[in-house]
Amino acid sequence: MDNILKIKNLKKSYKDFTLDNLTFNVERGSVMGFIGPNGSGKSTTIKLIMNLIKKNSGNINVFGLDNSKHDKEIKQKIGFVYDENYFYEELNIIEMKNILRPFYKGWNDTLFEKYVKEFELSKKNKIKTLSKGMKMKLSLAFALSHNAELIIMDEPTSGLDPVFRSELLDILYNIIQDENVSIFFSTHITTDLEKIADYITFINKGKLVFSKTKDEIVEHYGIVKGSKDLLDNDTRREFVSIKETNFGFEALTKDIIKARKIFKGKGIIEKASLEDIMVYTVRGIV
Amino acid sequence: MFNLIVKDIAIQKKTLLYTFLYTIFAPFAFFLMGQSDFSLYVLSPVAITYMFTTFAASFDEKNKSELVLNSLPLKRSDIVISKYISTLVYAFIGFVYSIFIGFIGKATRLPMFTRSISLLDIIFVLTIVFIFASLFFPVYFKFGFIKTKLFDTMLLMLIVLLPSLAIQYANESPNNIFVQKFNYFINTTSSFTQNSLALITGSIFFLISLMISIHIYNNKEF
Repeated sequence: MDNILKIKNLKKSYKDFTLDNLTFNVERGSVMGFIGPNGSGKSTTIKLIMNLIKKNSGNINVFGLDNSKHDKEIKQKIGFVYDENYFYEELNIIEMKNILRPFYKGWNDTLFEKYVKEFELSKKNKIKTLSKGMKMKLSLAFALSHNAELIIMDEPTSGLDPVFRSELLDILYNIIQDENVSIFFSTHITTDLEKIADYITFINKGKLVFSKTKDEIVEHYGIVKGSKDLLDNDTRREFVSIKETNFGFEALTKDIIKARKIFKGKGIIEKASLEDIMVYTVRGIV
Repeated sequence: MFNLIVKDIAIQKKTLLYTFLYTIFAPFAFFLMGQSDFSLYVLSPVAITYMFTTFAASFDEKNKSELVLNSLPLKRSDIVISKYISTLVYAFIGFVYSIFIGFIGKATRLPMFTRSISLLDIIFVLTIVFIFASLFFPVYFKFGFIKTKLFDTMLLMLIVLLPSLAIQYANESPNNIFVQKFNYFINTTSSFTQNSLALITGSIFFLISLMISIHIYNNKEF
C-alpha cells in the first residue's frame, strides 16, 4: 500500500495538553477525515505535519520522506488550507498569486485561472473585501494550483454556511477524482465527511480513538434505542456510552451485529452517524 | 530569498510613494536648522529603511502571514536572511530617492540643495542601518511585532538621541579617560578611517545578530 502520509508514535506536549502516541496513515489518492472535538489536538497534528511546531518524539513521513529533514521538498507538493485567511488582506487576488507563484516549481497559471473562474472569484477585489466563504475558496485555489499531491485542510468548513459548505464539498469531490491527490481534512462538522471521506481518523484529548475506513465504521457502529429495562450489567457492557432519560435509553455500540442479536425485537437498532460516534465516544471517555 | 524581498515591497507599494514624499520634504523641513544636506542624504535613507522594515513587519503580523510563509517551500533561515538583506535594499531605495531629489534640487538652484551625496553619507547610513537591524530583528523574531512596538520606538529614539547624548557627555566631562582616548583617536585619524571602522563594527553586529535571529526563528513555534 502506498502511504502518502505516515504518522508514527507522534508526541507533542504542552503545559496543559499532550498529543500522545498518535499513529495513522493516509493512503495515496484517498480522503482522510480527521475528526475530534475542539481542543482534541487536530490543529496541533496539522501544525506538526506542516513543521510549524516541533514534535517531542515520533515520526512523520510525507511522500516517504522525513518531514523535518526534507521540509522544503515536501512542501513543494503540499497544498494547505487553514481555518482563517492568512493572506495579505490589502492585496487583490492577482497580487497575492504573484507573491505565491515564484515559490512553487509546479505552479500552473492556467490551472489557477480555471479555479478562479470556477469559484467565481473576482480577481481585482482586495482579499479583505471577500466573504469568509470566498476567502476559503481562494485558499483552495492557491492550494490546488501547484500540482500538490497532498492537500492539508484545517477546519476549512468552520464558520461557513451550509450552502458554501456543500459547494466546497462538491469541489473537493471533483478533485479526488484525480487518483494521485490525497486530502487530509480536519473538521468537527462530521456530516462534511459522510459524503467524501474514505477513511476517518478520530482523536480525543490528544489520543487516537480509531483510524479506519469509513465503510468499516458505518458497518460496525450502531445506535440502540429502547426502554430502560433492557439495560442490565451484561447489556451495558456492550456499549461505548449510554444516554439515559426518563423515557428510555440511547446507546452506541461498536458491534452492531452482536447488538442485533441481543436486542432483537426489543429495541430499535440504527446505523450510527459519525456525529453519534463522536458524541457518544467523547462522553464515554469522560 | 529574492522573492521574499520582493514580497515585502509588494505588500506595501504605497510606502514607495510616502517615502518619496518624505525625501522631498526633509531638506525643506531641516533647512532652518542648517541640516538640509544631512537630512536629505543621511536622515531620509535611515528613516525610509525604518519605515519599510517596520511596515513589512506589521503587515506580516496583522495578517498572521508567518503561518503561510512557513507553510511554503522555504527554509526558515531564508526567511530570516531575506529580512536582513531587505534593510539594505530599503536603504538603497532611500539613496536612489536622495540622489534623485538632490539632483533635481541642485538643478533648480534651491538654497537647501548645496552638494551631492558623499561616500561618508553612505557609510554613515549603512552603519546606522546595520545597528538598527541588529537590534530590531532578534527581538522581532522572538516576540513578534506588536509586542515589541514600544521597544521599536525606544530603539528609534536611541538611534536618534544616543549620538547627541554622547557628544554632550563628552563636552561636559573632558577629563574622563574614555573621552580623552576617544578625542585622541578622533584627532589622529581621518574621518574616512573612523567611519570605515564604524561600518565594520556595524556589519559585525549585523552578522552576529543574523545568526542569533536564525537560531531564534528555527526554534519558533507557530
